[in-house]
Amino acid sequence: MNECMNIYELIQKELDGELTTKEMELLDKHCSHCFACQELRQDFFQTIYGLNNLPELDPGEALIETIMNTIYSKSPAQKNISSKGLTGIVAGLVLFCSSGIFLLGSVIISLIAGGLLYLGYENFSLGFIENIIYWLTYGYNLLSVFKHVFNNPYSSIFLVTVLLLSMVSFTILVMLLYSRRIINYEKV
Amino acid sequence: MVFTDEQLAIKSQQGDKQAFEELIKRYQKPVFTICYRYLGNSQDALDAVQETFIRIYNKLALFDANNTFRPWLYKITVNIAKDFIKKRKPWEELDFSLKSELGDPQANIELTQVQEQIKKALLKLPEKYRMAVILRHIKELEYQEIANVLNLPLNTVKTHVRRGRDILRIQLKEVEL
Ligand SMILES: [Zn+2]
Repeated sequence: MNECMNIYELIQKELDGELTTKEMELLDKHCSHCFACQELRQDFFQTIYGLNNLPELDPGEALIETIMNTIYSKSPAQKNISSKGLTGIVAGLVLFCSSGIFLLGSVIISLIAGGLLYLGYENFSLGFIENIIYWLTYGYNLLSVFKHVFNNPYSSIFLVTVLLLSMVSFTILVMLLYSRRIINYEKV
Repeated sequence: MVFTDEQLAIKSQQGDKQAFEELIKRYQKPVFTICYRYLGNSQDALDAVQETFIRIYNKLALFDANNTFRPWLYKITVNIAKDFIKKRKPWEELDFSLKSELGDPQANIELTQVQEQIKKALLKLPEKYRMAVILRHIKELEYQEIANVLNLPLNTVKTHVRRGRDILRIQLKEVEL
Protein backbone atom coordinates (compact mmCIF):
# COMPACT_ATOMS: atom_id res chain seq x y z
CA MET A 1 0.00 0.00 0.00
CA ASN A 2 2.82 2.31 0.90
CA GLU A 3 4.36 1.63 -2.45
CA CYS A 4 1.15 2.74 -4.14
CA MET A 5 1.37 6.11 -2.35
CA ASN A 6 4.76 6.47 -3.87
CA ILE A 7 3.40 5.57 -7.26
CA TYR A 8 0.78 8.30 -6.96
CA GLU A 9 3.62 10.81 -6.63
CA LEU A 10 5.34 9.30 -9.65
CA ILE A 11 2.19 9.54 -11.74
CA GLN A 12 1.82 13.20 -10.81
CA LYS A 13 5.44 13.76 -11.78
CA GLU A 14 4.92 11.90 -15.01
CA LEU A 15 2.13 14.28 -15.95
CA ASP A 16 4.59 17.14 -15.57
CA GLY A 17 7.25 15.33 -17.55
CA GLU A 18 9.55 15.28 -14.57
CA LEU A 19 10.30 11.56 -14.35
CA THR A 20 13.79 10.20 -14.56
CA THR A 21 14.31 7.00 -16.60
CA LYS A 22 14.75 5.09 -13.40
CA GLU A 23 11.46 6.35 -11.95
CA MET A 24 9.74 5.60 -15.23
CA GLU A 25 10.92 2.00 -15.07
CA LEU A 26 9.71 1.73 -11.49
CA LEU A 27 6.31 3.12 -12.44
CA ASP A 28 5.89 0.82 -15.43
CA LYS A 29 6.94 -2.18 -13.41
CA HIS A 30 4.53 -1.40 -10.58
CA CYS A 31 1.61 -0.76 -12.90
CA SER A 32 2.17 -4.02 -14.71
CA HIS A 33 1.10 -5.90 -11.60
CA CYS A 34 -0.97 -3.36 -9.60
CA PHE A 35 -4.33 -2.86 -11.22
CA ALA A 36 -5.36 0.04 -8.94
CA CYS A 37 -2.35 2.15 -9.90
CA GLN A 38 -2.73 1.23 -13.53
CA GLU A 39 -6.27 2.53 -13.44
CA LEU A 40 -5.24 5.64 -11.54
CA ARG A 41 -2.62 6.40 -14.14
CA GLN A 42 -5.14 5.90 -16.92
CA ASP A 43 -7.70 8.16 -15.25
CA PHE A 44 -5.13 10.89 -14.83
CA PHE A 45 -4.15 10.60 -18.46
CA GLN A 46 -7.72 10.77 -19.58
CA THR A 47 -8.31 13.88 -17.49
CA ILE A 48 -5.24 15.66 -18.81
CA TYR A 49 -5.94 14.55 -22.35
CA GLY A 50 -9.44 15.95 -22.07
CA LEU A 51 -8.15 19.24 -20.71
CA ASN A 52 -5.46 19.55 -23.38
CA ASN A 53 -7.98 18.98 -26.10
CA LEU A 54 -10.63 21.41 -24.98
CA PRO A 55 -10.95 23.63 -28.04
CA GLU A 56 -9.53 27.12 -28.08
CA LEU A 57 -12.46 29.49 -28.20
CA ASP A 58 -13.01 32.35 -30.56
CA PRO A 59 -14.59 35.47 -29.07
CA GLY A 60 -15.89 36.46 -32.52
CA GLU A 61 -14.95 39.12 -35.03
CA ALA A 62 -16.80 42.01 -33.45
CA LEU A 63 -14.57 42.07 -30.40
CA ILE A 64 -11.51 43.66 -31.98
CA GLU A 65 -13.62 46.41 -33.42
CA THR A 66 -15.31 47.07 -30.11
CA ILE A 67 -11.99 47.22 -28.30
CA MET A 68 -10.32 49.41 -30.91
CA ASN A 69 -13.30 51.77 -30.94
CA THR A 70 -13.38 51.99 -27.18
CA ILE A 71 -9.69 52.80 -27.05
CA TYR A 72 -9.16 55.05 -30.02
CA SER A 73 -12.44 56.92 -30.31
CA LYS A 74 -11.82 58.40 -26.91
CA SER A 75 -9.22 61.04 -26.36
CA PRO A 76 -6.04 59.71 -24.73
CA ALA A 77 -6.52 58.25 -21.30
CA GLN A 78 -4.90 61.09 -19.36
CA LYS A 79 -6.95 63.82 -20.93
CA ASN A 80 -10.00 61.77 -20.32
CA ILE A 81 -9.34 61.55 -16.61
CA SER A 82 -8.95 65.31 -16.20
CA SER A 83 -12.08 66.04 -18.19
CA LYS A 84 -13.89 63.50 -16.09
CA GLY A 85 -12.55 65.22 -12.99
CA LEU A 86 -13.76 68.60 -14.22
CA THR A 87 -17.20 67.23 -15.01
CA GLY A 88 -17.23 65.77 -11.54
CA ILE A 89 -16.38 69.08 -9.89
CA VAL A 90 -18.98 71.00 -11.90
CA ALA A 91 -21.60 68.33 -11.25
CA GLY A 92 -20.71 68.41 -7.57
CA LEU A 93 -21.09 72.19 -7.38
CA VAL A 94 -24.41 72.12 -9.21
CA LEU A 95 -25.64 69.39 -6.91
CA PHE A 96 -24.38 71.23 -3.85
CA CYS A 97 -26.15 74.44 -4.84
CA SER A 98 -29.37 72.77 -5.92
CA SER A 99 -29.51 70.65 -2.82
CA GLY A 100 -28.87 73.84 -0.85
CA ILE A 101 -31.77 75.59 -2.54
CA PHE A 102 -33.96 72.58 -2.05
CA LEU A 103 -33.07 72.19 1.60
CA LEU A 104 -33.17 75.91 2.28
CA GLY A 105 -36.64 75.94 0.75
CA SER A 106 -37.82 73.20 3.05
CA VAL A 107 -36.20 74.88 6.04
CA ILE A 108 -37.95 78.15 5.22
CA ILE A 109 -41.27 76.40 4.81
CA SER A 110 -40.93 74.61 8.11
CA LEU A 111 -39.81 77.85 9.72
CA ILE A 112 -42.86 79.62 8.35
CA ALA A 113 -45.20 76.91 9.51
CA GLY A 114 -43.45 76.33 12.82
CA GLY A 115 -42.99 80.02 13.48
CA LEU A 116 -46.58 80.82 12.71
CA LEU A 117 -47.82 78.10 14.96
CA TYR A 118 -45.37 79.07 17.65
CA LEU A 119 -46.31 82.70 17.60
CA GLY A 120 -49.97 81.92 17.36
CA TYR A 121 -50.53 83.51 14.02
CA GLU A 122 -53.24 81.10 13.16
CA ASN A 123 -56.53 82.87 12.86
CA PHE A 124 -59.22 80.58 14.16
CA SER A 125 -62.04 82.50 12.58
CA LEU A 126 -60.72 81.54 9.15
CA GLY A 127 -60.74 78.19 7.31
CA PHE A 128 -57.64 76.32 6.25
CA ILE A 129 -57.20 77.88 2.80
CA GLU A 130 -58.04 81.34 4.08
CA ASN A 131 -55.47 80.84 6.76
CA ILE A 132 -52.81 80.17 4.16
CA ILE A 133 -53.82 83.28 2.26
CA TYR A 134 -53.81 85.15 5.52
CA TRP A 135 -50.27 83.95 6.22
CA LEU A 136 -49.12 84.90 2.78
CA THR A 137 -50.74 88.33 3.00
CA TYR A 138 -49.29 89.11 6.35
CA GLY A 139 -46.01 87.58 5.40
CA TYR A 140 -44.08 90.57 6.66
CA ASN A 141 -44.81 89.28 10.10
CA LEU A 142 -42.52 86.41 9.25
CA LEU A 143 -39.64 88.78 9.49
CA SER A 144 -40.14 88.73 13.21
CA VAL A 145 -40.00 84.94 13.15
CA PHE A 146 -36.64 85.06 11.42
CA LYS A 147 -35.49 87.77 13.76
CA HIS A 148 -36.30 85.52 16.67
CA VAL A 149 -34.28 82.72 15.17
CA PHE A 150 -31.31 84.75 14.03
CA ASN A 151 -31.12 86.93 17.10
CA ASN A 152 -30.28 83.83 19.03
CA PRO A 153 -26.66 82.94 18.11
CA TYR A 154 -27.12 79.28 19.11
CA SER A 155 -30.15 78.68 17.01
CA SER A 156 -28.67 80.41 13.98
CA ILE A 157 -25.40 78.47 14.24
CA PHE A 158 -27.41 75.29 14.64
CA LEU A 159 -29.52 76.09 11.64
CA VAL A 160 -26.56 76.91 9.39
CA THR A 161 -24.66 73.80 10.50
CA VAL A 162 -27.57 71.49 9.87
CA LEU A 163 -28.13 73.06 6.51
CA LEU A 164 -24.49 72.70 5.43
CA LEU A 165 -24.22 69.16 6.71
CA SER A 166 -27.32 68.04 4.91
CA MET A 167 -26.15 69.76 1.73
CA VAL A 168 -22.81 67.95 1.89
CA SER A 169 -24.29 64.56 2.68
CA PHE A 170 -26.93 64.89 0.03
CA THR A 171 -24.29 65.78 -2.54
CA ILE A 172 -22.06 62.89 -1.51
CA LEU A 173 -24.95 60.48 -1.66
CA VAL A 174 -26.03 61.51 -5.13
CA MET A 175 -22.45 61.54 -6.46
CA LEU A 176 -21.85 58.09 -5.03
CA LEU A 177 -24.87 56.70 -6.76
CA TYR A 178 -23.82 58.41 -9.94
CA SER A 179 -20.25 57.15 -9.88
CA ARG A 180 -21.47 53.62 -9.25
CA ARG A 181 -23.43 53.87 -12.41
CA ILE A 182 -20.45 55.19 -14.36
CA ILE A 183 -18.25 52.34 -13.22
CA ASN A 184 -20.89 49.81 -14.14
CA TYR A 185 -21.45 51.16 -17.58
CA GLU A 186 -17.95 51.86 -18.76
CA LYS A 187 -16.40 48.80 -17.17
CA VAL A 188 -12.91 50.24 -17.05
CA MET B 1 8.15 41.16 -41.70
CA VAL B 2 6.86 39.55 -38.54
CA PHE B 3 7.27 41.50 -35.35
CA THR B 4 7.62 39.99 -31.91
CA ASP B 5 4.96 40.71 -29.31
CA GLU B 6 7.38 42.99 -27.54
CA GLN B 7 8.13 44.97 -30.69
CA LEU B 8 4.41 45.35 -31.30
CA ALA B 9 3.91 46.53 -27.74
CA ILE B 10 6.61 49.17 -28.13
CA LYS B 11 5.10 50.27 -31.44
CA SER B 12 1.64 50.57 -29.90
CA GLN B 13 3.17 52.54 -27.08
CA GLN B 14 4.30 55.03 -29.73
CA GLY B 15 0.76 55.31 -31.01
CA ASP B 16 0.73 52.65 -33.74
CA LYS B 17 -2.90 51.53 -33.94
CA GLN B 18 -2.22 48.63 -36.27
CA ALA B 19 0.42 47.23 -33.98
CA PHE B 20 -2.06 47.14 -31.13
CA GLU B 21 -4.69 45.57 -33.33
CA GLU B 22 -2.19 42.87 -34.26
CA LEU B 23 -1.60 42.15 -30.57
CA ILE B 24 -5.32 41.76 -29.99
CA LYS B 25 -5.54 39.44 -32.99
CA ARG B 26 -2.74 37.31 -31.65
CA TYR B 27 -4.08 37.00 -28.15
CA GLN B 28 -7.84 37.37 -28.18
CA LYS B 29 -8.41 33.64 -28.46
CA PRO B 30 -6.11 32.52 -25.64
CA VAL B 31 -7.31 35.34 -23.40
CA PHE B 32 -10.93 34.52 -24.17
CA THR B 33 -10.30 30.84 -23.57
CA ILE B 34 -8.74 31.47 -20.17
CA CYS B 35 -11.59 33.77 -19.16
CA TYR B 36 -14.29 31.47 -20.47
CA ARG B 37 -12.90 28.38 -18.78
CA TYR B 38 -12.48 30.28 -15.56
CA LEU B 39 -15.74 32.21 -15.53
CA GLY B 40 -17.91 29.63 -17.27
CA ASN B 41 -20.00 32.15 -19.12
CA SER B 42 -19.37 33.77 -22.47
CA GLN B 43 -20.82 37.19 -21.73
CA ASP B 44 -18.56 37.62 -18.72
CA ALA B 45 -15.64 36.21 -20.66
CA LEU B 46 -16.19 38.69 -23.49
CA ASP B 47 -16.37 41.57 -21.05
CA ALA B 48 -13.24 40.35 -19.32
CA VAL B 49 -11.32 40.13 -22.61
CA GLN B 50 -12.37 43.62 -23.53
CA GLU B 51 -11.35 44.94 -20.15
CA THR B 52 -8.03 43.11 -20.37
CA PHE B 53 -7.01 44.75 -23.63
CA ILE B 54 -8.21 48.15 -22.51
CA ARG B 55 -6.16 47.83 -19.35
CA ILE B 56 -3.18 46.65 -21.39
CA TYR B 57 -3.55 49.74 -23.54
CA ASN B 58 -3.79 52.03 -20.55
CA LYS B 59 -0.72 50.45 -19.01
CA LEU B 60 1.37 50.36 -22.16
CA ALA B 61 3.51 53.19 -20.85
CA LEU B 62 4.73 50.84 -18.13
CA PHE B 63 5.90 48.25 -20.64
CA ASP B 64 9.55 48.42 -21.48
CA ALA B 65 11.81 46.47 -23.78
CA ASN B 66 13.04 44.25 -20.95
CA ASN B 67 9.57 42.85 -20.30
CA THR B 68 8.08 39.87 -22.04
CA PHE B 69 4.62 40.53 -23.30
CA ARG B 70 2.81 37.25 -22.76
CA PRO B 71 3.21 36.82 -18.98
CA TRP B 72 2.37 40.47 -18.56
CA LEU B 73 -0.82 40.06 -20.59
CA TYR B 74 -1.82 36.89 -18.77
CA LYS B 75 -1.17 38.50 -15.42
CA ILE B 76 -3.64 41.23 -16.25
CA THR B 77 -6.09 38.68 -17.68
CA VAL B 78 -5.96 36.65 -14.48
CA ASN B 79 -6.46 39.70 -12.28
CA ILE B 80 -9.45 40.84 -14.27
CA ALA B 81 -11.02 37.37 -14.34
CA LYS B 82 -10.60 37.17 -10.57
CA ASP B 83 -12.22 40.58 -10.17
CA PHE B 84 -15.20 39.30 -12.14
CA ILE B 85 -15.62 36.42 -9.73
CA LYS B 86 -15.32 38.75 -6.75
CA LYS B 87 -17.94 41.08 -8.14
CA ARG B 88 -20.43 38.25 -8.61
CA LYS B 89 -23.37 38.12 -6.29
CA PRO B 90 -24.44 34.76 -4.90
CA TRP B 91 -27.60 34.69 -7.00
CA GLU B 92 -25.56 35.41 -10.14
CA GLU B 93 -23.32 32.47 -9.34
CA LEU B 94 -26.41 30.33 -9.31
CA ASP B 95 -27.56 31.80 -12.57
CA PHE B 96 -24.22 31.09 -14.24
CA SER B 97 -24.05 27.51 -13.17
CA LEU B 98 -27.52 27.07 -14.57
CA LYS B 99 -26.57 28.71 -17.83
CA SER B 100 -23.48 26.61 -18.26
CA GLU B 101 -25.53 23.51 -17.66
CA LEU B 102 -27.86 24.55 -20.42
CA GLY B 103 -24.99 25.16 -22.76
CA ASP B 104 -23.63 28.35 -24.15
CA PRO B 105 -23.93 29.44 -27.78
CA GLN B 106 -20.34 30.70 -27.78
CA ALA B 107 -18.98 27.31 -26.95
CA ASN B 108 -21.29 25.23 -29.05
CA ILE B 109 -18.39 23.40 -30.52
CA GLU B 110 -18.80 19.65 -30.42
CA LEU B 111 -17.29 18.29 -27.27
CA THR B 112 -16.76 14.68 -26.43
CA GLN B 113 -18.65 13.45 -23.43
CA VAL B 114 -15.49 13.44 -21.37
CA GLN B 115 -14.73 17.00 -22.37
CA GLU B 116 -18.26 18.05 -21.52
CA GLN B 117 -17.73 16.56 -18.06
CA ILE B 118 -14.33 18.18 -17.72
CA LYS B 119 -15.76 21.55 -18.64
CA LYS B 120 -18.32 21.26 -15.85
CA ALA B 121 -15.93 19.77 -13.33
CA LEU B 122 -13.47 22.58 -14.00
CA LEU B 123 -16.05 25.15 -12.98
CA LYS B 124 -16.61 23.35 -9.71
CA LEU B 125 -12.93 23.46 -8.77
CA PRO B 126 -11.88 25.91 -6.08
CA GLU B 127 -10.85 29.09 -7.88
CA LYS B 128 -7.15 28.98 -7.08
CA TYR B 129 -6.84 25.44 -8.40
CA ARG B 130 -9.01 26.24 -11.37
CA MET B 131 -6.81 29.03 -12.68
CA ALA B 132 -3.63 27.02 -12.11
CA VAL B 133 -5.05 24.03 -13.99
CA ILE B 134 -6.28 26.21 -16.86
CA LEU B 135 -2.88 27.80 -17.31
CA ARG B 136 -1.03 24.52 -17.00
CA HIS B 137 -3.18 22.12 -18.99
CA ILE B 138 -5.29 24.25 -21.28
CA LYS B 139 -2.79 26.98 -22.08
CA GLU B 140 0.13 24.65 -21.48
CA LEU B 141 2.33 27.16 -19.74
CA GLU B 142 5.46 26.10 -17.88
CA TYR B 143 5.26 26.11 -14.09
CA GLN B 144 7.72 28.97 -13.87
CA GLU B 145 5.61 31.15 -16.15
CA ILE B 146 2.46 30.31 -14.18
CA ALA B 147 4.22 31.22 -10.95
CA ASN B 148 5.14 34.49 -12.55
CA VAL B 149 1.61 35.14 -13.82
CA LEU B 150 -0.10 34.22 -10.56
CA ASN B 151 2.53 35.86 -8.40
CA LEU B 152 2.94 32.69 -6.36
CA PRO B 153 5.94 30.58 -5.39
CA LEU B 154 6.72 27.76 -7.80
CA ASN B 155 5.93 25.05 -5.27
CA THR B 156 2.57 26.54 -4.42
CA VAL B 157 1.66 26.55 -8.09
CA LYS B 158 2.68 22.93 -8.45
CA THR B 159 0.59 21.98 -5.44
CA HIS B 160 -2.42 23.84 -6.83
CA VAL B 161 -2.13 22.17 -10.22
CA ARG B 162 -1.68 18.73 -8.70
CA ARG B 163 -4.58 19.07 -6.26
CA GLY B 164 -6.73 20.56 -9.01
CA ARG B 165 -6.19 17.76 -11.46
CA ASP B 166 -6.61 15.20 -8.73
CA ILE B 167 -10.04 16.64 -7.88
CA LEU B 168 -10.92 16.66 -11.58
CA ARG B 169 -9.89 13.03 -11.93
CA ILE B 170 -12.04 12.05 -8.94
CA GLN B 171 -15.02 14.00 -10.23
CA LEU B 172 -14.78 12.40 -13.65
CA LYS B 173 -14.54 9.01 -12.03
CA GLU B 174 -17.70 9.72 -10.05
CA VAL B 175 -19.57 10.66 -13.20
CA GLU B 176 -18.50 7.44 -14.88
CA LEU B 177 -19.72 5.28 -12.03
ZN1 LIG C 1 -0.19 0.27 -6.76
